[in-house]
Amino acid sequence: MSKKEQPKDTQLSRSDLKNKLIQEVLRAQKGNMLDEGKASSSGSAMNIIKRLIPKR
Amino acid sequence: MKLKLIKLKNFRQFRGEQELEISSPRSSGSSRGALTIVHGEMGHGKTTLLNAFRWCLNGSKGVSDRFTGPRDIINLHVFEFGERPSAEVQLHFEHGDDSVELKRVITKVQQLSTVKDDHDGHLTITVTSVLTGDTHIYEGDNAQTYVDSIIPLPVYDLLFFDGEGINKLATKGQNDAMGESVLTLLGLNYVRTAISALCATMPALRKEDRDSSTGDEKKLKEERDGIDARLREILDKKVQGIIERDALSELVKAYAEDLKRKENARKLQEERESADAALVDAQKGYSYAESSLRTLISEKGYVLFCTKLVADGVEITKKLRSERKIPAPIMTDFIKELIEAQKCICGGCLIPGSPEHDSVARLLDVAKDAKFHDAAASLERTIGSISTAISRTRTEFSNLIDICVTKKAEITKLKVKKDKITAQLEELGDPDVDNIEKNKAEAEGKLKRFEWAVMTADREAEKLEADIADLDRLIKEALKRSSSNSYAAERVSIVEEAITDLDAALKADLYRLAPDLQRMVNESFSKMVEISGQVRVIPEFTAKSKFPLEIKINVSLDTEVTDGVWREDNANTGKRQCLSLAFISSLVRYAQQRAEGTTGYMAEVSGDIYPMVMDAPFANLDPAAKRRFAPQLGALATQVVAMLNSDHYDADFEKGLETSPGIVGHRYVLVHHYRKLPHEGVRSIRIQGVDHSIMQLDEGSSYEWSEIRKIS
Repeated sequence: MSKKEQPKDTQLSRSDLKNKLIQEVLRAQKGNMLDEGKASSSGSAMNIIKRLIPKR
Repeated sequence: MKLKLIKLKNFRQFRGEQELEISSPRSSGSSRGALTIVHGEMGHGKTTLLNAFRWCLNGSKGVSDRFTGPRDIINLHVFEFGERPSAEVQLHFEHGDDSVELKRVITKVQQLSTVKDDHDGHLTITVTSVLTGDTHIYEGDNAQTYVDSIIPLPVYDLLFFDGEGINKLATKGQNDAMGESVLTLLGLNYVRTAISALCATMPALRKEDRDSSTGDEKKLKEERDGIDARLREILDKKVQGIIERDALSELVKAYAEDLKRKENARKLQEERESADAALVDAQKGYSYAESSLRTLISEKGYVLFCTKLVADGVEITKKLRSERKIPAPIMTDFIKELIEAQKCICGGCLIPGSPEHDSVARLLDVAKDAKFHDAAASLERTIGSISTAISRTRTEFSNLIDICVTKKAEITKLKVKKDKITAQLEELGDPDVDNIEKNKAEAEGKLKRFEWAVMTADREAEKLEADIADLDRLIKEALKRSSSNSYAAERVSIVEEAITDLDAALKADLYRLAPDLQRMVNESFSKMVEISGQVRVIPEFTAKSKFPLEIKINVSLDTEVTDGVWREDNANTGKRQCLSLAFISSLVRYAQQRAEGTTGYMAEVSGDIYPMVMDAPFANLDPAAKRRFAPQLGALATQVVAMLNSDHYDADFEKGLETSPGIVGHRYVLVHHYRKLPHEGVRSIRIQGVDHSIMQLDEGSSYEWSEIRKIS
């Protein structure tokens, strides 16, 4: 089960951010794979992006 | 997923609480103890046990096709007489660092409910971390989502399967489904949907980036996104074009097939017409012979029954002649002449009153009855003519019978041939050639147009992509100049890179999969069955476009016959069952290798450890093949649960199993409790020299039921 998301580490490099984004999106996809509503929506992916790269 | 235990409570025919402890997974390089065997005869609960796994994991959606009456889960006795009737299946297993206990319960109310979801009962999952001891409990939909993330529905037929139908995997027509299962089992479908999900965020992210920019940078981005929007439209059109093109291409192929069928149909029709003509001839011949036979029987049939009469007549006349009781007619006339002339043949006198005269006169007495003489002569003539008639009639009768039999056989053969041709013709249909040719020409015309449209879209897309690349470069330069640190630009750029990376990783994995999987299937299959050639697995990847990305894997299981000629292996069902098992086993082992060997973010979705639970997977193997296959059974996956009846587990199989000592961990027999013992059927089975009773009498029970009994 997906673990509780960690708050963004401001020290993460671009490459780390990208890898973390991929990892979390994959995990979310695996968790919600069979829920078509969630799987096809950008909601979960967008939320991950916003959390990892917040507004500043 | 490492199975530990399955517990059944009032699940179908398994009344009360019953459990099956599953042999521990094997450690690498050894198959020691990884096999659990459940011995059970037909109707004793093998399929039910298999479906207990499937039902627990996925409710009514999970059960196999052979699980009849999938809504009747609660044991009939409990359903009728129990206080609070319910059924329950618990499945305990380890997954990663977690110990997982699944419990699915269904009550009588849920079973009788008209709401479909109620038929799945209620699922509860208790997950305990082996490392920290933390426990989480999931219920209902959340619990199902958890299960689906471990073992998605499309792979159920590969991991918990009914062996009787498993040979179908090694046949054409199953390829798409198998391709999807490969993607699912290896976790690659998650990568595919992750790419789609990230792509779907791009328009919003770009808009945000545009809106937060200023000056030249904003203009450049607007221009870039404008082109990008056009590019999307063109790519959408291209994808539509590809879909249409592929569909039309299939249609053209189908029309070509129709025409080929029509040609075949024409040949078959000719054959049927010739069979028809031959049939008419044969029927005519038969009718003529039959009618002649009838006439013969009615007119001369009696002679066939006179054989005895004739034989008796011949015997009687022979006797009378030998006793000289029937003198020849000439003799009578001659004696009369002698008496009248009173002269004997010897020159002596035949004076009346003389002893010579009396002696000759006595001879005449014997023959004096002319009627007797005529009758005797007539009888002889009759016997002679009847005898000739019998002989002739017999020959005629025999000839006619021969003709009737031959014609009848010919008629039957021709009718069978005609029926076969008719069935083939029905299967082929009766396509209208003119229409097909017209439709084919139309489809070919359309196909050309779509091919052209796709090519045009490709060229346009290429040009637009080049424009976008130029603009991206300009935007980057502008960003450098402005020293902008926009979060929106960073989002766009990081997500783009993530999509590119995932796309590359997915394609690399897919292209690696083909040779790896083929090698593994070949190794596995050649251990099970002696084959002269090789098995091939053809993954056919269709990565249409990055935006949107579509992948299809087409897996064919064929064997090489000779000289590089490949064909779908349909030699026999047993071989195909083995081929399918080799494929599943290879896939499961490949998934495990990926799970153990993949690092980085792909480790999130790359395969897993899976067991194989199978019901009667090799019913059609011959004795030699069984001996060869038996020791491989435990090596198919890290854990194998095999349910076998006495046809599968026979002396040959046991002999094969003995060549790999210690392969079997736990063994169980399914004991069936009858209200009245059947007269026929296997009452006990012999396992490793020990007889185990598998039928028990339970006269007091209202329903038959089954029991899982551990024997080792």
